[in-house]
Amino acid sequence: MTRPVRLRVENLSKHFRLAKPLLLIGPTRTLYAVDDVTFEITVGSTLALVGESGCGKSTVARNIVGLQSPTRGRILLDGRDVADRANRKAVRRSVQLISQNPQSSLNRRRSILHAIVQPLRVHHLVDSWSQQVARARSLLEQVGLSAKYLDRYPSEVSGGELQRVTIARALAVEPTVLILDEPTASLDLSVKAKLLNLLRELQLQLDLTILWITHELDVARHVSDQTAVMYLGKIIEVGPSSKVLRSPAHPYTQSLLASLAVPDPSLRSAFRPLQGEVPSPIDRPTGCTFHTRCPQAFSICPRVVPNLTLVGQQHLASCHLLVPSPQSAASSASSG
Amino acid sequence: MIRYIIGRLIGSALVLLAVTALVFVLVRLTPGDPVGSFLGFAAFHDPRQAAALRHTLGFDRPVAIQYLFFLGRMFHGDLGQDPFTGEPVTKLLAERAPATLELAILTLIFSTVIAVFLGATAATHRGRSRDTLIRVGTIVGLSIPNFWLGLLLLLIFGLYVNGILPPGGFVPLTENPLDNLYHMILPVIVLGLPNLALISRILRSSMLDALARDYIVFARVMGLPERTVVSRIALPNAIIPTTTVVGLLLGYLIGGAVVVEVVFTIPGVGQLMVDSFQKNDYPVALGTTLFIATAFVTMNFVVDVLYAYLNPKIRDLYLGQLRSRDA
Repeated sequence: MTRPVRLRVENLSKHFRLAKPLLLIGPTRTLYAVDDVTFEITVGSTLALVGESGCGKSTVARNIVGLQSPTRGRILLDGRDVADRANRKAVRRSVQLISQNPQSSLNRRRSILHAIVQPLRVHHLVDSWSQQVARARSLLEQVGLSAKYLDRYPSEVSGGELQRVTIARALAVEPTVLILDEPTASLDLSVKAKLLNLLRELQLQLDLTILWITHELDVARHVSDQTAVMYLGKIIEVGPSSKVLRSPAHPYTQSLLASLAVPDPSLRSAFRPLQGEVPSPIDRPTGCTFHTRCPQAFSICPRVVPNLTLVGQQHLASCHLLVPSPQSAASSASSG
Repeated sequence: MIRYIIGRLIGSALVLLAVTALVFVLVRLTPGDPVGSFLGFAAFHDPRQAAALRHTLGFDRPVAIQYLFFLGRMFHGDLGQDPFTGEPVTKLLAERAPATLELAILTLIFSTVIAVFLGATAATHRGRSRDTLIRVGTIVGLSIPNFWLGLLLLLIFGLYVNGILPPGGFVPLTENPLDNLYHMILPVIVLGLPNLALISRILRSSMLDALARDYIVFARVMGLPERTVVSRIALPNAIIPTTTVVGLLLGYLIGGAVVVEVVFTIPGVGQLMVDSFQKNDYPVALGTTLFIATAFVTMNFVVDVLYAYLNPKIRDLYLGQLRSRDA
């Protein structure tokens, strides 16, 4: 029943060295955008990557599609390293990125037909012009748009329809993996629901593997099989969405869920919503990076970095509260 | 599109009409008149002769009447005569226009080509040394007054390093094209430097804007080479604000050529204009001003049409306003 792994991210770290401050005094500082992130997605399933703004979700996506190269770690697509020059071309075709703002991701000077056909040409997939148009037509149909959209320009089409166009464009090269970077963030609720269903249908039809980046936990719950929660560049909890988003183990995930709007007040979560701001990824808190905002922090938290530990079936979280004794936490910290 | 063009055309004509009225009155507000400059001391010694001349030239009539006569003649293609030489103003303009137009067009080409290169380079190397160099350089270029730079270059090439570049003078294009261009080098640099700086700064910022868009990210992810991404995708999107500036600059250059023409002794409209104002030569002053205003308004019109062509949204917006006014 278990299917093979399609995308594996192994100990991915992306650090940015910042420019020297004024007068070149002081040490060079480093921004830890992504720190030692590991996850894998099996063929045909969806992993939701959730977290607040600035926690490094999009940096993970940019590293996977090759816009940035990792400081450390590897990214494997079907077991092959995407950083290898030999695999570059295949990766560019197999992995497609859809960003949150469809207006920005389409060249406003070019028609929708051009947008869809361009990847076909760049990847030398279709020869004749009539074939290209026919392909564009069927792709639009696949995302629920009629062929009359082909001659329109992005400014003449609504946001929800444009997002369908970017999906059609991504599907043009028959990818196996879709990276969705907050695909519904700029859409209103009814349009959003339709798009979620469309993506679900396409995934079943085409056996797509999806990495879904979002800060909306209800969206994550709706679309994903697995969920990984990021905080300040690290994954602090990962596991089946049914576990992570219903009975979370980490205090951070618990607080995030508590901040969700629930229609029925009697169903409100017992956990307290988060207070305060995310600390800067340049001057990260010591020990557990979440200790500055954690409602349950105790003595060991500022001193020792917690490791991801198994808290249920395939369910991992990194929190000292979840470790049987402080001693084992201390020993695991010294090894990490 | 035709409706848009007609609308813009009518607007331009109204602007020109307003310009003639304004200049007509302003010129007459300056102290003295052409008769005074023409007769010199004789005007003091013989007021009757002056009055007679004023009468023959029509300057004794009310300004409003004079203006109407001027308009009547203007619509027949007659801008009056230079009272000093008796030559028609249109003929003077026709003689002087080629040098000015050539200077303006050469300057425009020179500054646009270099500015697009500099602006794009600065944007793609944002924050690095090349960007800093271009930004500082363009600020310096914008800050140098062109009469000062003109005089400085005149001094350098006229006095210290002889024989490399001619420090002034003009050879008609029809006479010797190469020599003509050779004489244009210094004036074009002086006139072009601030414009070049301005265009490259504008292009840099709109280019940065375009480069931050997701379609650029998409093109890169698709594996298009960076050069294609910059020149084929980012640049066409960034060029729209630049076209406005470039178009308006041509109008500005024709007017701005005055100083450069005087410094480098180029027999253009600008020089004619300076002379005519010094002599209180109403018809020629009016004619030259009208010439420059026409150039400006024409370029404005061309830019508007080009803009509507480049960005259909603008045309629709304008027509939408017309329609709502009709309703």
